[in-house]
Amino acid sequence: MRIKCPLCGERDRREFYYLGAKDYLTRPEESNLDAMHKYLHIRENPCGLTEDLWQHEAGCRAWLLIERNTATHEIFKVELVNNKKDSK
Amino acid sequence: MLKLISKSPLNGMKPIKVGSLVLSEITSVNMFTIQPFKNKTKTVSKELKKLFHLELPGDGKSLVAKDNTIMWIGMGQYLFLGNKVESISAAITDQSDAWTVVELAGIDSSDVMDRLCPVDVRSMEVGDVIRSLLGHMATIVRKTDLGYELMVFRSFSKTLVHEVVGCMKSIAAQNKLRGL
Ligand SMILES: [Zn+2]
Repeated sequence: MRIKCPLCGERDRREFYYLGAKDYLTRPEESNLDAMHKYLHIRENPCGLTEDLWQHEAGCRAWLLIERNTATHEIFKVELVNNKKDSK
Repeated sequence: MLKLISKSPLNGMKPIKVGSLVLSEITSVNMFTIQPFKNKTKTVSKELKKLFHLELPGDGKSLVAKDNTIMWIGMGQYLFLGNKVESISAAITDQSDAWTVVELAGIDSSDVMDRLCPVDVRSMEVGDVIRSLLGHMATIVRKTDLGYELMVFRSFSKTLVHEVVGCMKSIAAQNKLRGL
């Protein structure tokens, strides 16, 4: 599997660290316990389209939001998390 | 007063020659990381221009002017080698003594890199910089006229030499078998 980093170009998967679902970009208020529980522990496990967070750990170290297909390993979109203004 | 002798990361290692390949330590003077403050990238470029006739290079690039080199080393981060840098619109961290720098030179240097680095370094042009892996080490690779400049954290010095020299020997031996 190869990932095209917006800064470094196409790189081998071993250069990247996988964090998890993009839910991590939207942290709820800490006083909202139900939302916090969901944020920390409840995840979809899709077979097919998914969006998750990766870090180009051995490269430029940018955080990336990657849209991919878990069934076919196709990668559709790679974006810098920094460029997403709505992320916290 | 007692004067302490500073040791380079590879302790003055003599160049290692294997076949046509040479691995030598580069002992640099000062090294600083420059991380421009928010929305100050252009300002920092102007300040560097005034001070050193340099500017912030593009992603994956480096620039040289007189005794100073500046290279991109990641998102919003640059490495400056040469004079002391201070008082610009950026966070500056002194990295002198923190990195081991070697140059792998020779016509077969790309063959060595092929075995160690997951990036196609043959597509790099002189002055291009990548951050990638060398074996399992996080490494900065810069294309030079003679080969590749490799930079790893100082604590990885021996591993770096071990990995690279192992490949140099193997490449040289195979060339010899083929009568090259
Ligand atoms: Zn990258």
